[in-house]
Amino acid sequence: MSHPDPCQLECYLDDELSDPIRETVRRHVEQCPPCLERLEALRKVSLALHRTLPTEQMFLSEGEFWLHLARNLPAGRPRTWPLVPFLPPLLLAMAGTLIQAMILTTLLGFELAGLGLMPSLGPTVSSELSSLVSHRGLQQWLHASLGWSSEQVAQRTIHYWDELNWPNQNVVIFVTVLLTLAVFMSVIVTFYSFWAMCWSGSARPNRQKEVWDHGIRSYR
Amino acid sequence: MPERTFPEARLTKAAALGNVGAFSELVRQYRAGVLRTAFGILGSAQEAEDVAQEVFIKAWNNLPGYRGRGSFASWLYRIAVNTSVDALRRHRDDIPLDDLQPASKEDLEESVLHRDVHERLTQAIRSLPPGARAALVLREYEQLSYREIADVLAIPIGTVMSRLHYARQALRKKLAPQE
Repeated sequence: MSHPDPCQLECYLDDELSDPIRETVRRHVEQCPPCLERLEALRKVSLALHRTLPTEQMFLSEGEFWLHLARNLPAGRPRTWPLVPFLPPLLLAMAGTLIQAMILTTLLGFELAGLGLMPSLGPTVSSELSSLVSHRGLQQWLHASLGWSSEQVAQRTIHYWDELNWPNQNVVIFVTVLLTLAVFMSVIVTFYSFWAMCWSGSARPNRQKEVWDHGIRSYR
Repeated sequence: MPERTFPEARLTKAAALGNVGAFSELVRQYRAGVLRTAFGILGSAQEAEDVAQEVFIKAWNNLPGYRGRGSFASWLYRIAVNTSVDALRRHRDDIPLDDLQPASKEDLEESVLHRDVHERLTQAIRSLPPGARAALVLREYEQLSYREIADVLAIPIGTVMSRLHYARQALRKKLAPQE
């Protein structure tokens, strides 16, 4: 066997080699005075270091150490709520993504409409608007709160809607869909965050503190 | 009556939930190791004592965030190493050089004979970069395996080996004239 490299020799000294390699190195070192000398030099370093190991007498006794520590332990441990550290970047990322999506959709609506690659969605909405505002619950609400009939609302809305040119109608539709999705996403994220902070495994220490305290004290 | 022992996982879980008794048991088990590690990195018993107190307070505060991934010992040693290195950076010039003491009376006599070696070794340890010093202390004082050192320092095993090699070479050179 050729001479083991310095790292291999140190691994041998630290007992970090696999059995066959350790045996090979051992046999080599026994027969190779230079390697034996290197190994002895490493052992001397190790022994010298062990001489600097601290003794118990250099420190406070176990009891004194604990007394000192117990005095300094904070009475109310800061509670760590899972997800809280991640919420600001998460919300920022969500808001950023939403703004980007709105800008892109607006540009896309204009561009595709200008190129004639997208049909106008306005007439479809106009035809559905009458049936939408004639929904019974909405009719009753409009009448009760504003004193308007659904026909008036439908006429006025369709009037404003038709005044928009059709690329703008497309943009309004896209942005409305996006905002609806964003609201939906926010509801999901809110529920998830609430679950993570209150019911997940990570939140258990905060949730069951008293129960666990009692349980452990009883077995001690 | 034999002393009852509790599984470490149960102790850490109870301590995470605020049980001071369980935490005191963990302190009892790891106090010496944390003190040795801090002492090895800082070279001062007083500093090591202060750092060990700080380590256990940090551990107490952060136990709820300890999810049991990896061993508790590795987690605690990581706090110990980081806190010691921070203290080292804060008080680099304040630590007395001759605070490293021999382990026993026999060693005291021996160290009187080899005072020069001892001082050069102390100087050599203090001249090591914190990373190499931490790896050396965990290996030589705490007898951790390379894998455990890698876990504590959050570095690959290859880096552990190179840091140990660097540290030992530096110490060997300092000791060479005495050999």
